Amino acid sequence: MSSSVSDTDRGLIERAKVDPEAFGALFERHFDPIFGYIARRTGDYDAARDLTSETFLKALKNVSRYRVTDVPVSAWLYAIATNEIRLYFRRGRRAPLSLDQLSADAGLDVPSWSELASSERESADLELERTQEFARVQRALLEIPIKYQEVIALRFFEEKSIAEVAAILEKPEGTVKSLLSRGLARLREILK
Amino acid sequence: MADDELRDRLKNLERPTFRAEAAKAQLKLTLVGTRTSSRVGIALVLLPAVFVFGVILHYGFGLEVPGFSQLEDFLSWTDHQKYVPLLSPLIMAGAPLAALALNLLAIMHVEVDRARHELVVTFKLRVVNIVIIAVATLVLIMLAMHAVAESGHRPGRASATESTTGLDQTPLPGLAAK
Repeated sequence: MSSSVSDTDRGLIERAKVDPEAFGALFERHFDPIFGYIARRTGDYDAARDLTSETFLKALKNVSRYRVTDVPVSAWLYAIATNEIRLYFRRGRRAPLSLDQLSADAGLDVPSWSELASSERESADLELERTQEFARVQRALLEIPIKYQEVIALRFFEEKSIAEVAAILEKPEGTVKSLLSRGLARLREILK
Repeated sequence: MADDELRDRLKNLERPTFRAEAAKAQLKLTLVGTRTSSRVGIALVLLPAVFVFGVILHYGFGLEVPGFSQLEDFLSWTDHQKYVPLLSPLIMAGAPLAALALNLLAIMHVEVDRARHELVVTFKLRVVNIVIIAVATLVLIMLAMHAVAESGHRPGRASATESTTGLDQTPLPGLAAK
């Protein structure tokens, strides 16, 4: 991420600590990449909706604890998302709270949102069918331990650098390289 | 398959991209919505709460409450205005009522279970909303008690100029001659 974008994110997050409405601008900027990341990891549109909600809800709740001198905002959000995905798989692919339930609690009209979600779900399924090679690799990835899945997905699906992956997973770069190497060896065995 | 070959394969993999405008809009509204009811509730209940508790502290215990006398003067002024006679009741009773309804709706969920013939009512434990509901209820109870006490001071029972809050120093309309 360029320093100018990073500086803007930092400015926004500092404002969001005293003015939660400023969080909306961060949300607009980072929703698409986070949703895409979760959807590519889980291969499930509905899970991606729910886990993305959980990610931003947790980010909003913890915004006051975020330190600007720590990881970039993008890495912080990816870290929350990665944790949510980890918990999702541990729970047997069940999200803790659905976006529809959250919306109903907030008094929003859920049926109308469900219709729109239905069309987006169909598009997501078609997109996964179109990118069959990706779907095959993604299915193979799910068969290896999660610590390898994370580094491989962030490095190759999300095109993050080793430094960025290290920041997201809060691991030294050397550890990330080692996990990547061992993970690829396992993946190679499944794909051959 | 060599390591480099796999890395190249992964780098050149066509990744799916997803459209999620509906999910984005829904989530944004939801994130804002959970805070809106409590913020609006605070705004609605603040003035009446300050007034009611100010009356208790000022007239009951002789304590000075910042801003209370200005608020008292303003409400007294509205009471005597020809063109905004409802402003005072709107602020004092309507606003807390609206705050109560808004925050109750925000935390309450009602579901009909037809199979078991049950009406299931659940309440979310959201501290801010619950505090606003409690304050609004307290304000409304105290206003109701004041109204009952005031009705005991109507003409025939007591002087028309008496008031337990000391606010209304002028006679009620049409009653000055009695």
